[in-house]
Amino acid sequence: MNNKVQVVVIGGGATGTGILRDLALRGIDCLLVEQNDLATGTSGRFHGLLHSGARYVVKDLHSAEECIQENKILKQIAPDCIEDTGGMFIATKNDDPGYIDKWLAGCAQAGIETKEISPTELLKEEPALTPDVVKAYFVPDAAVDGFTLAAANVLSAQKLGAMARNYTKVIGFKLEKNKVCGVYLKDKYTGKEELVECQYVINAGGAWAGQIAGLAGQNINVNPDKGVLVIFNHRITNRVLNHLRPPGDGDIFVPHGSVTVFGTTSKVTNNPDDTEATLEEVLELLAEGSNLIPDLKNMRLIRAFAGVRPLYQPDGGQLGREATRDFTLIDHSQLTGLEGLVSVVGGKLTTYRLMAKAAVDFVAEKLGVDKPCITHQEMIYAPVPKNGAKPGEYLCQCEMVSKKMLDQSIEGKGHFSLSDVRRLTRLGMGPCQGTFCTFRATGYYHQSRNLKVTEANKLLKDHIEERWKGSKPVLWGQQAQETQLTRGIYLGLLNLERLESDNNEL
Amino acid sequence: MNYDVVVIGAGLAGFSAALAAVKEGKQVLVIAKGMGNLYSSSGYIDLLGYYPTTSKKPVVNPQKILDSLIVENPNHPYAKVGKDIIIKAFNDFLLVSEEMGLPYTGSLNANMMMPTAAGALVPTTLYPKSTDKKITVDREIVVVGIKELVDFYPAYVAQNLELQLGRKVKPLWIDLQLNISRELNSYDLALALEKPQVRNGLIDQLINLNVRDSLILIPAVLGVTRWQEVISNIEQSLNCELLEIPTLPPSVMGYRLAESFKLYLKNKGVEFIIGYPVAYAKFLDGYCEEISIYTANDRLKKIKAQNFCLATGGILGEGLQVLPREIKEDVFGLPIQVPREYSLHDFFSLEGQPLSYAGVNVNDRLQPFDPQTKETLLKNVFVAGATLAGYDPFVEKSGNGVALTSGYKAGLLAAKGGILNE
Ligand SMILES: Cc1cc2nc3c(=O)[nH]c(=O)nc-3n(C[C@H](O)[C@H](O)[C@H](O)COP(=O)(O)OP(=O)(O)OC[C@H]3O[C@@H](n4cnc5c(N)ncnc54)[C@H](O)[C@@H]3O)c2cc1C
Ligand SMILES: Cc1cc2nc3c(=O)[nH]c(=O)nc-3n(C[C@H](O)[C@H](O)[C@H](O)COP(=O)(O)OP(=O)(O)OC[C@H]3O[C@@H](n4cnc5c(N)ncnc54)[C@H](O)[C@@H]3O)c2cc1C
Repeated sequence: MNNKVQVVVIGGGATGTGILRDLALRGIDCLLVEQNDLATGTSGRFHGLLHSGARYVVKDLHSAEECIQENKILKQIAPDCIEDTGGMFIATKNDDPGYIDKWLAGCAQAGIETKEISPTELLKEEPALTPDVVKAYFVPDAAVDGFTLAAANVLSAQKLGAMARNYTKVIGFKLEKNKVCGVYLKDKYTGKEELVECQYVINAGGAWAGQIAGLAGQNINVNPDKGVLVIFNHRITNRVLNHLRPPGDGDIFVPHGSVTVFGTTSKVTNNPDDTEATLEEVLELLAEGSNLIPDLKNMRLIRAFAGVRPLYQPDGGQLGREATRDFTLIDHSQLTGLEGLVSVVGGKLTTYRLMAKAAVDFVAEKLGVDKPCITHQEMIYAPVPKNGAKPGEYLCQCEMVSKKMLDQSIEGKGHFSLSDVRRLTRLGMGPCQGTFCTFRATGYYHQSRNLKVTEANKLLKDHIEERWKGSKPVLWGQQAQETQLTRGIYLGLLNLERLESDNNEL
Repeated sequence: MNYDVVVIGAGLAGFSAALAAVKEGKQVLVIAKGMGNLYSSSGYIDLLGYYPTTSKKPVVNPQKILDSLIVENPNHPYAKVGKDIIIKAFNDFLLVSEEMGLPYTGSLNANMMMPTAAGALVPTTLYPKSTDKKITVDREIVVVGIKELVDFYPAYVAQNLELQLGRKVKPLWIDLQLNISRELNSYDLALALEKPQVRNGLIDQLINLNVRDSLILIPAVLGVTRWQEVISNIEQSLNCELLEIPTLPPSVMGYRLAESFKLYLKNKGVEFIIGYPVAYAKFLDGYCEEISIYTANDRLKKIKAQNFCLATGGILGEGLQVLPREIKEDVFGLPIQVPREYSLHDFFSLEGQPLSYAGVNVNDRLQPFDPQTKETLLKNVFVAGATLAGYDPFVEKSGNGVALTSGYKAGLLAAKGGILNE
C-alpha cells in the first residue's frame, strides 16, 4: 500500500468513519485504521437510539439541541441505517409530576416536537406497557444500526478514494521535533508491522482515546464508563420507550428489527475493554425495567453485554451520569505543544457527524483546505442492502439473510469471520442467535470461497463461541433451553468439538 | 381415571418406561405437554461415546468402559441403573424395534462410527439397520447434497471426512427441481421423496453423476414412513449402498423412531394424552396420590396411579425450569442442586457445561432423594432420562442411552411397586 497519506484517522466507530467520509468529501487523502472490525467498539455496543434529544433537555440543553438537529439530518441522509420507529416518554404514578413541566419546557426550547397521547389510547397501541402510565408523549426518536452506519460511512469515503483498514492496530507514533509525522501499525492477522507517514493524525479512539494519546506521550482524561444492555427476543414495544424522569438506569427500550435492546447502567471503569455484563447487573436492570413493562421478567432474554462510554473530563469534573454528554476537540499543540495530533472525545453516536465536522474543520484549516463540510447533504448507503431474494435463497430465516447478502458482505476481503458478516447482515442476531444459520453460512462459504475445511471449522466454532459469550449472563428460562438445543446440535448431533480446526488467534 | 403406572413425558425415556411397564401387564398412561426431543435428535442411541468426556479418543467398547464409569461416578445415571438393566434394556429394545417395523442393530461391545452432517465421525451404539454400513468400506464414497435443503453441504462433509479417513471422498450436488416457494427442511423433502416421480428424478440424476456401486452418504430425507421402499428402490436402481446422515432438526430419523415406538405402545394398550402439562400433584405420606392436567376449555382432569415415572426431559424437555439462581423441577417441585456457575467459558468445552449436569438426584431405585438429608422424597415416583442429575449427554454422547436404560428401569420399578428381585 501507499505508505504516505495526508491524514490518518484512528478508530473505526461512528466518529472515525464519519471523519473519514468528511475528509474524503473535502478531497483530503486519508486512511482509517481500526484494531478490530468496524463498529466493534462502543458504536456496536450501544443502545441503538437515534436520540431526539428529549432525554437531555432538562440537564443538558445544548446536547439536546445538537441531537435534534442531527436526528433530522441522519433520517434524511442515512435511511438504510435507521428504522424510524418514533419514540415515547411515559411517566407513571410513581414519578415526580413536577419533572414533566420542566421537560416539556425544555423540549419546546430545544425545538423537539412532543405530542401528548392519553394513557388509554397508548395502551391500546402498546399493550406491554404498565397500566400505571399517567402521562405519555410521542417524540421523534428512532432506532439506528451502528454497524451499518460505520460501514456506510466507509463505503461512501472509499468511493472518493479514501482507504480503510480493519484489524490494524496503531501501536505507536512517529514523532519528529515535537510533531507527529506518522503512525506505526500492526496487522492483527499477519502480525506484520509498518509505518504510514502523514501530516496529521485524528484520534477518534472513543473510550480508548486516552490509551492512544498515551502512545504519543499525551495525557488526556478519558473516563471509560460502562453501561450494560440486554436483548429480548421480540419487539416489546413498537416505538422507542423512555421513562419520563431524570435520566437513570434501565429506562430505555429500543426496538431493532425482530428484537428489543434494553438498558442501561452507568459505572466508571478503568478498562475500556471491560465489556462483560454480570448476572447481578442484569438482574438489577430487569428489576428497574419492570416498572415500565410489568411482564419483563418472564420475557426471553437472548444476550447481555456492555459498552463503554468515552466520557471526557477536562480537569477532574463530574463522573458517570453527571458528566457531560458533549464532545470535545483536543488540540494537543495547545495542551503540550505537540503538533499534528488532534483527539475527539466524548459525545454520542447521534452527534457523530457534528464531531466529525468539528475535527475535520480543524484539520482542514491546518492543511490549508478551504472546502466546507457537506456531509449533511450527501446520502450514505448500506454496503449490504436487504434485497428481495427468491424464496429458497435465504440461509437465515430470523433476519432474512440471503446467499447474495453473504457474498456481498465479504466482497474484496481476504480474511473474514462470521462475526464480520453478522455486523453487515444481521446473520445470527435474531431469536435463534445463530443456531441454524451458523452451520449454513459455514457450509455455504466453505464451498463458494473454496476454504480449507479446517478454516471452515474455525469459522463455525468462533461464531458459536461468540454468540455463547453474550448469552452466558442470561442463561435461564427459554434461553437456557435454547442453549441446550444448540449444544444438542453442535456437540450431540454434529460432534463438532472433536473436529480439527485452524487456531490462528485473533 | 385410575392407572397402575402413569408416565409423565413422551420422549425416549417415557416410551421406554411405558414399554417396560406394559410388558409387565400393567395399565399404563403416558401424559406429556408436548412431543419429546426424539423429533430433533439423530435417532441413534448412543450409550457412551467418550469417557472421560475430555478424552480425545472415542470409546471402542462401551460395555467394558461402563464398569469403570459406575465405580468412578456413583452419581452418574448409569451407576443408578446398573449394568444388568442396561444390557437388558438394550436387548429388549433391539427385539421390540423389529416388532415396530423399524429394526435397529448394534452391539454393546463395539461402538459404530457414524458420519455426521459436519463430516465428523461420532460413536454410537444402536442404529437403524438401514444405516448399518461401514464408512470404512472399499467402495468409492460419495456425499450427495440436495439443492433444496439448506441444512446440508456435501463438500464440507466430504473434506472433513477425508481428513479423518485419509482417503478420497467425493462431494456432489443434485437439484430435484421441485417448484417450491420456501426453503425446505428435511421433513418436507422426506415427504416429497415418498412420491415415485420425485424419487425417480433423484435416481436419474444420480445415474447421470456416475455413482453406481459406491457408498452414497445422503442427508436423512429418504421417506418419513415409507423409508424402506424409498431406500431399497434407490439402492437397487444404482447397485449402491445408501447411508443416511441425520440432519439438523427436524430430524427424519428421530421422527421415524418416535412415531414407530408410539404406535407400537398404543397397539400394546398404552394410552396417551399429549398436549397438556401437569398442573399439580397431590401427595400423602411421601407418596404421590394423584396428578391433574387442565384439558381443553380449562377442564381439570384428575389422574390417579399406583406409581409414576417422571421422564420430563430436563432443561431441554422443560421438566426443569432454570431461573437466575434457582432450578425448579416442574411437576413435583423436587429439590435441584444449583451449580455455582451455570456455564464454563467455552461453548465447546469437553468438560461439559455445569448446567447440563444439574437434575434430580435419585437413589438406586431411581426414587428422588434429598442430596442433603439423603431422605427418599417420593416412594412411588421413579425418575428417568434427561431430568436425572450427574451427566452431560452432549459431550459424553449418552443422551438416548441414558433415556432408554433409565426409562426402562423406572418403568420396571413402577410396575413392580419399587422392588426388583434378582
Ligand atoms: C451502554 C451505552 C449505550 C449508549 N447508547 C447510545 C444511544 O442509544 N445513542 C447514542 O447516540 N449514543 C449512545 N451511546 C454513546 C455512543 O455509543 C458513543 O458515544 C459512540 O458510539 C462513540 O463512538 P466513537 O466512534 O467515538 O467510539 P468507538 O465506537 O468506541 O470507536 C473507537 C474505535 O477505536 C478503536 N481503537 C482503539 N484503540 C485503537 C488502536 N490502538 N488502533 C486502532 N483502533 C483502535 C476501537 O477498536 C474502536 O472501534 C451509548 C454508549 C454506551 C456505553
Ligand atoms: C439436536 C439434538 C441431537 C441429539 N442427538 C443425539 C444423538 O445423536 N444420540 C443420542 O443418544 N442422543 C442425542 N441427543 C440427546 C437425546 O435426544 C436426549 O438426551 C434424550 O432424547 C432425552 O430424552 P428424554 O425422554 O429424557 O426427554 P425428552 O425427549 O425431552 O422428553 C421430555 C418429555 O416430557 C414432557 N414434559 C416436560 N415437562 C412436562 C410437564 N411439566 N408436564 C408434562 N409433560 C412434560 C415433554 O413434553 C416431553 O414429552 C440429541 C439431542 C438434541 C437436542
